[in-house]
Amino acid sequence: MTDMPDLATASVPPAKAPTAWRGWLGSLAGRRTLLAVLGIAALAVLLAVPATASSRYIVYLGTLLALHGVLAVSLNIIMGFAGQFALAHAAFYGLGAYTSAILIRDFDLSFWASLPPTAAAAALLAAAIGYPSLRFTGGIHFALITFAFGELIRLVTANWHDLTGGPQGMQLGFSPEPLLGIDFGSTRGIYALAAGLLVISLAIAAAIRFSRFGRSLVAIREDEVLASSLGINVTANKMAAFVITSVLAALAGTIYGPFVGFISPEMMSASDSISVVGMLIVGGLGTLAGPIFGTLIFMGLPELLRVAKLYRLVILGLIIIAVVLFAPKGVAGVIDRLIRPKRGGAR
Amino acid sequence: MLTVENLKVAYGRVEAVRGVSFAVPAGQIAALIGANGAGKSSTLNALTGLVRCRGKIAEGDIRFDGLATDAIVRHGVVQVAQGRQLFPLMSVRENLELGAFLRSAADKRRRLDELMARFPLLAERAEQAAGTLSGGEQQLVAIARALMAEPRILLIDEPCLGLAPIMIRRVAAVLRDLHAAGLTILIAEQNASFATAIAEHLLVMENGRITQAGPPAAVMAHADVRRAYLGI
Repeated sequence: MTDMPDLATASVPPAKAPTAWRGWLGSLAGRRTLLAVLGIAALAVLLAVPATASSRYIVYLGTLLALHGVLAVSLNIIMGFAGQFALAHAAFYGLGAYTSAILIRDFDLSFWASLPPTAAAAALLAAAIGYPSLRFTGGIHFALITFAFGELIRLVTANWHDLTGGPQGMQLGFSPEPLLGIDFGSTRGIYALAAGLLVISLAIAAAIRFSRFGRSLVAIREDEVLASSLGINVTANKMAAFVITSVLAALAGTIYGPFVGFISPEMMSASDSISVVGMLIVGGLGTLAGPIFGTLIFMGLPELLRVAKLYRLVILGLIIIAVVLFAPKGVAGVIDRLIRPKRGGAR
Repeated sequence: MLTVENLKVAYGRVEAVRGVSFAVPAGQIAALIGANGAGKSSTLNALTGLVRCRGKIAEGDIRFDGLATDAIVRHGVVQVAQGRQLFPLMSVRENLELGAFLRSAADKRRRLDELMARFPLLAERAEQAAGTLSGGEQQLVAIARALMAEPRILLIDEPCLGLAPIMIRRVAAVLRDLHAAGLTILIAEQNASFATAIAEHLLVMENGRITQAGPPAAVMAHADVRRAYLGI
């Protein structure tokens, strides 16, 4: 007992000095830099393949992956960073697709002019359902209200025949107009649009994660009451995260419309929202790269497994179960563990 | 001076604090002592807006009752929660930085440098996950995190909870230093010996009410208080 160090002035023996690249790799800054470089390189390769491929199928798949990547990256802001279980993501995706399509059809807006009002509508709705539900701690109210909201939006869309075409959906005959000399109307142009939105979403998520706002979200995720006691406005920060999440999902929806040429209430189903949650859990909740890994596994793997025909979904299911059981922090967690230095000094 | 008048806190139909009034003069240490469930933590939580309350809470002309916690922290009233409550997966540095959440980046850096110079242990453990520290070290980080906000009034809930006697003495030394620097401190504590040794004013709470108040010697002069809290 008498050998115990003084609480305020005690010193710990210095750790053994690491050498050369191991020292750099072992440092937190080195590990983060390496991860960031690897992640950006992998993403650049992935984005470049459809952009240069001659196969329409590859371009189609690339666009689908990019749009779902946006959904996963954006959901990660409210769910991964702030720890709030949102179950209306597919509804905001569909809301974006329908709002943009209706504005273009009924108000003769261009595709580009339809984007701000679509984003504003998503932001307003997110704030309207976020405020009553995010004031409570624990997240269960928020999960239930977003689930109910998602179903409500889907049912309204399916039953408002005059405006939305009802369950039969809407055939869309428009394409994004050329902008700054770039033709966004072609299949490759729409891919560029989706890939661009994915890069922007990733940049927004990274900027949030390393900002004061992002640190407040992580503190809220860890302990709302403690975060509040430090002066963090818990409800306002959660609301801001939910609004950003929902606006990005709605913007992805605006691209989905001209990409497929057809939208229906099916795209707003709760199972689609839960799939995006699955992408985050498998990829690595709360990490920057996790949503991309999750999207590749959930959306890309079934395409690679087409040779297995009907068994491909069984194989995908087994892979997901294995990841959840053996890598609870997802694929990003496994990679982090592989290159993480052995920590000293922990007691 | 922190003044509290007729403070009431209720959880549903259960009244945890029943019309408590007291004052803590600026620059002094006061301690709320009492058994589990006496209403000490509820009183501190009400002062920082973490629970709803009725009554008047003020420092001079500034009233805090009804304000949100972030507004109260902006006024310089900061609480160290019971059980130390760090973010265990975050590093010591990240925990400390969150304490200055409402401050500018320059203020945060300056305050971090000051506290790390004052408590070298914080600098040496800066990148270590806070959850891996010992209980005493965690308490120090929790107090330092509250100091990052440069409070004028520091509220500490059960600073001795779960600490070895030697660590309790060291926490007491840190609090005396803060007192010497002019900080107003209100402690909620079950350990009456600790409270008596460190505080200039004791407030004895029972069933949501203050039953005795005054300098430690005067309060401990009551035989029933001595018997209940010191066992003598």
